[in-house]
Amino acid sequence: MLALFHHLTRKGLEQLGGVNWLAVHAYASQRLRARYAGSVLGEFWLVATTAVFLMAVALVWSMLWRISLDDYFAYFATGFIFYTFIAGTMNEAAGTIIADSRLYLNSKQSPMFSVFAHIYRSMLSFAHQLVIVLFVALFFASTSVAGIVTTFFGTLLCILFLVPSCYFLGMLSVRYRDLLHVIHSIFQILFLVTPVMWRIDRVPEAYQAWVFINPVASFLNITRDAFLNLPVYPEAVISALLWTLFAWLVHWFVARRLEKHFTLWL
Amino acid sequence: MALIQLDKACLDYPVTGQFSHSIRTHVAQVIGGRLLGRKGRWPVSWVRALDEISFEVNAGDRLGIIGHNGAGKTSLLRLMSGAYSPTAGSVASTGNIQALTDFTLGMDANATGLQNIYFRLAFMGLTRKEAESFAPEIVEFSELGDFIHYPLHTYSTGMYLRLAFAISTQFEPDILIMDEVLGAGDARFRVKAEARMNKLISKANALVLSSHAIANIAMYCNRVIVMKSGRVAFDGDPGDATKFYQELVAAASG
Repeated sequence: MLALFHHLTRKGLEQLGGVNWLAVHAYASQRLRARYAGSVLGEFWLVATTAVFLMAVALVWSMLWRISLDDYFAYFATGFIFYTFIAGTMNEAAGTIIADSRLYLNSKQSPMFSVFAHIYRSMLSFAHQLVIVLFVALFFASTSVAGIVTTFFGTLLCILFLVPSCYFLGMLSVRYRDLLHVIHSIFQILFLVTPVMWRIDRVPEAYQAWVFINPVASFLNITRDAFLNLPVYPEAVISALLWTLFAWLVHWFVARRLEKHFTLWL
Repeated sequence: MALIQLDKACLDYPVTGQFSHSIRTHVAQVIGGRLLGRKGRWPVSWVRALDEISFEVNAGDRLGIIGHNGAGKTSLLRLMSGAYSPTAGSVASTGNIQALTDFTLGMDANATGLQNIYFRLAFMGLTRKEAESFAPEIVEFSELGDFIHYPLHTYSTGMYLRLAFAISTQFEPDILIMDEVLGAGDARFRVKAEARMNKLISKANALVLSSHAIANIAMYCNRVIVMKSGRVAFDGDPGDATKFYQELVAAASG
């Protein structure tokens, strides 16, 4: 009886959402490995280069703006890592289903497989980058338990937002191949209007709430800012929740309209 | 009860051109059309690849599919395996389907042979523990020896195909769908592979085999469909189907 329960639970977890999670894990790990094939440091090579980049930028900008290097490095480094996770995952999501065309043309699979594998791979990369965040927390910032807990739940909400968003971008890109370039252009602009290098409290008070129309700014506020004990704006929390809800509604609509025949466009 | 049932199943493909996949063109067509007071024209046309296909695959059937290039064989296999959904009509299936239409699917050149085995078996729904228990059998069949610990990009084409074949044919499905009969490796391995293939086919509840090799169709199938321009032109005894197909070929050759 216990064995049957164990079997059913395991099979249930493996096939949760119609997706084979063991395969998602294997596939995402494989693609991450492929990206750093031949490198002894693997993913940590990216961590090292990111750390050097962050230090160089923080040094120059703190001098230009005449602000404390410690404060600016902590703010910019954690902001850049969270931003890269959120925006980078969405940016690369556009090509993820197209890249797996062979898989969908030769076996019956839900397109969610590519989406989950893509997000999982991004999370693995993000987990490596957290070494820098830990370094910041130890030497450059004052964090609190409440802040870390808020960051944790903020990151969970962020992942909940990324799933339908990546699905939407991936599916739409199957239909419109030039969407990839359009999305890349949008994210280049998005970096400038997202408080990664600049602080929200430097924006005139009357305009501060407008910053949170941008979902990435909202998620950054409830993750990075919470982590650094900076104010978490209620507008950011509301915006993040509404964007997540909106993304799932769009997901439902797109799934109904496009999923049945998406393989015909591959 | 039928294992696969097609009822007036149709498949329409979008014929994609230079601008048909462009969101910028689509938006420009819609906005431009509105400004000029006419409906925007979408640069996509559709072609009917399969037209009102109806037949059943029952337990014990060894169904062969033959036809010219472009007759709709691959589309039909993908429809039956569930990769495509019909754009009209219906396709229903019961049982576990294994489509061996691309047997090197998911192989990673940078990973070792063993890692590829684990990955492919995870894809088939096995846990790591289960995969580990089947791996020695696959390694032994592929005859790769210590090479199994080397990355795939160090393999010869024959070694690569032997491994892919060993993994793909490890388990016996209810319904086996194949695009050509699989074979791999040198003459000696081919004999072994053929025996394994025969076992796989005989154990399957039903076989669907698309092939240009009439000899293979005659060897494995007890029923044959001849496809012509997306329609079933003949469905019946392999001998009669082969004769019908040869007449088609002769007529097409003039």
